Amino acid sequence: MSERATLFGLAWKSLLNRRLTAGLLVASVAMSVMLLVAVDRIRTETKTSFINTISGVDLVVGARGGPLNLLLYAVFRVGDATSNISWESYQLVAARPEVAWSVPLSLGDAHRGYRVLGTTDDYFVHYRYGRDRALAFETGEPFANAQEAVLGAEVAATLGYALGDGIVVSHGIGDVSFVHHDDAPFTVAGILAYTGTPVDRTVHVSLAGIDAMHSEPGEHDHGHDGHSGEEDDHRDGHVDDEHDEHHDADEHAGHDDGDEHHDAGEHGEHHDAAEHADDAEHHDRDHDEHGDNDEHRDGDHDEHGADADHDHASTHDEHEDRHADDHGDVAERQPDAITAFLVGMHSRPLALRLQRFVNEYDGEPLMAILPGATLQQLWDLVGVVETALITVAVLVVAAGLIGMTTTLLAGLAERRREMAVLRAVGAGPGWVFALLIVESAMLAATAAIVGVAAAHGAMFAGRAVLEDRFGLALAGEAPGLFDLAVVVGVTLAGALAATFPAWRAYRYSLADGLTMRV
Amino acid sequence: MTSVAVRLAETTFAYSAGEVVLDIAELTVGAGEKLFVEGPSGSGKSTLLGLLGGILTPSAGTVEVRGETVSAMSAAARDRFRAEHVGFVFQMFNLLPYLSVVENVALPCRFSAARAETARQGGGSIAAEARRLLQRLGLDGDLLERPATSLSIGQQQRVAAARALIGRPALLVADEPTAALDAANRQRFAQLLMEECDAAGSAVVFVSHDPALAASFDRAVSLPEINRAHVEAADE
Repeated sequence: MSERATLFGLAWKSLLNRRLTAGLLVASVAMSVMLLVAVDRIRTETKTSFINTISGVDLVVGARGGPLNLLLYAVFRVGDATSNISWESYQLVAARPEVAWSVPLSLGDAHRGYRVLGTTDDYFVHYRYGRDRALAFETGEPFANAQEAVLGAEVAATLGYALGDGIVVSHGIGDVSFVHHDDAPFTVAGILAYTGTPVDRTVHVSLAGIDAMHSEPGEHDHGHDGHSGEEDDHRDGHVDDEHDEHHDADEHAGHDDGDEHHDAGEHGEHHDAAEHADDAEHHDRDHDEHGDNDEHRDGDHDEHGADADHDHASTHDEHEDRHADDHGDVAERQPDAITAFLVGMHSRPLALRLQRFVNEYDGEPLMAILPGATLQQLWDLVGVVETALITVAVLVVAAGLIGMTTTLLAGLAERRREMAVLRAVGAGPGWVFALLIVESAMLAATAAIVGVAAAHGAMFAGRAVLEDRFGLALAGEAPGLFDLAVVVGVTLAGALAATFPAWRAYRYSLADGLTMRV
Repeated sequence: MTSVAVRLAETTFAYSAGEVVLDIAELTVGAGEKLFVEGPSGSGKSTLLGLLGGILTPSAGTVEVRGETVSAMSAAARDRFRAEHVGFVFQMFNLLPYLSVVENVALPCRFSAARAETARQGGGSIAAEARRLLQRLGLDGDLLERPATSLSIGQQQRVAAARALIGRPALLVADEPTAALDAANRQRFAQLLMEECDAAGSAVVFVSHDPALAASFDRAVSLPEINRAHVEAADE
């Protein structure tokens, strides 16, 4: 048997002899390797999942502004639109021949901290996330009328809603809103399955539902005492009032046109009420003029303004009647404005052409973004976290290896007799050095293989939860190049880490010679 | 092979401190000769063994084993030379705890192709030769596959002797191999060792502070007498 084979054979048997210590070392390093592999897989999979937060959508269209902002409010339900887009513009774009489908989105309200999204039931048909996964209903079905809502999985789970429960939507997006649309409660018609996307945290209602919510006469009782006399004439203004309560005075500056500024308060609201009523008229003449300043809900108010033409003096009862008419016919009512819309193309390359068309559209400042590209852009912003995560994981592996080295070093004194015996039968000090290196590398390699296997095993075992709950398809791929690199890298690092103990052993064996130091 | 197994000539050794611990004018061991060296602690015993094994190199003078000047070789060459031609038996802790008895005996054959070859010629295979040697030394049965550390001290010393002798090295160096044994076993162990050295044709340098064992040997010398350094300091 050659000396080299002896080296590996003896190293292995020596480790087996110290199997308890060696086992613990392997376990600790394996755990760190497991963490590293899992973090890497989660990192790449999270990125894939993130970039596919919305997939199958070729364009997202909203008011002109920052692409990231559009992505944030339209897809992630974070932040607000700078302004709305008119229903006419939406119809114009949606009617383009290259457009296969489109889904309008109307945002701006919340239910107990969760955003409310007004949309059509096409949303449930066309929305895709991850690797072309469609939205699935955990229970129930899409909303059928203006009084029904579909909850994201997290909304239902956190707030404990079940089918048939009534929910009340707050105007504005805060958790504690002063204005609740108590008179327009929604009934839970469906609950979506987990997607691991912002859909989980969204309350979906029909556009008509959003509309109905804002045109309820009863809402004026909330914080707007004394306005009842103006109700019919200034309905839009009152709705804006509520917004003003939640937004700072800057908005007023835009509207006031040199008028005296009023801080938010009863008096100011009275003023605003009148001014916004004027605004509503402006909107009718020239929608764009106030596009940048108006709070985004204005579009919806315009809608109510339009309603007012035939619904002006309507009583509460008449509203009820109208809602009754809406039953089973959600799409019929057309709002004047929406916040954004999603577009699917007949053929993906056409998206660029439509994007140019939208961006150059004269009627209104619109912007179209390719969600994939913008998601990638957004990821690059938040991607620092992934670097931090993988850095931490690498450091944990390094700590594991240092721990292993420490243990090898501590055990060295006890092994001086063993070194002397090996020296006596002909081993040189270099051979003793190599023995220590090989032992450490073997430990590290074993730990790396165990760790990689354990990581993949765990990801495979937890694949159902990970995929349904977090939208992470972690078990999708077999161990690959990264895993091989981890095994090789950790083995080499283990060998490298052993150079110090090995050098000590080398020195011992030179100094001790054949002397049996006990 | 020359007729001389070991020759020390004007050999001195001093540790780096400068204190000479060994100074031998002349010491010769013939091929196959069994030399008893009476050496109490502090007589330079460990130094002598280190020089014979090529672990240490003399400060002055030469160490020849089997006609080759070990003291002139490189460190690596001395390691190889030791593997090929010298077998060691220590006072205790001779065995690697993670190897079986047979594996322990076969260990030198992993470091010396020549001894491996000789062992194969003698017993058919290295393992068979190891078993044969162990049997000659009174060890057999299921003992042989057990971990070396499960054996008694006396059994372990016999395993160590078998290991030192496998592949018939030119020289067997024993460092108080009987110190841990009781009186009855000492004589018996020394006797067995001599017989096997005869069979292997190996010369023996057997260091002990127990003069009672000297009778089994061809010749006996007293280390304090031949060591002109007369060191008092304990060097082991």
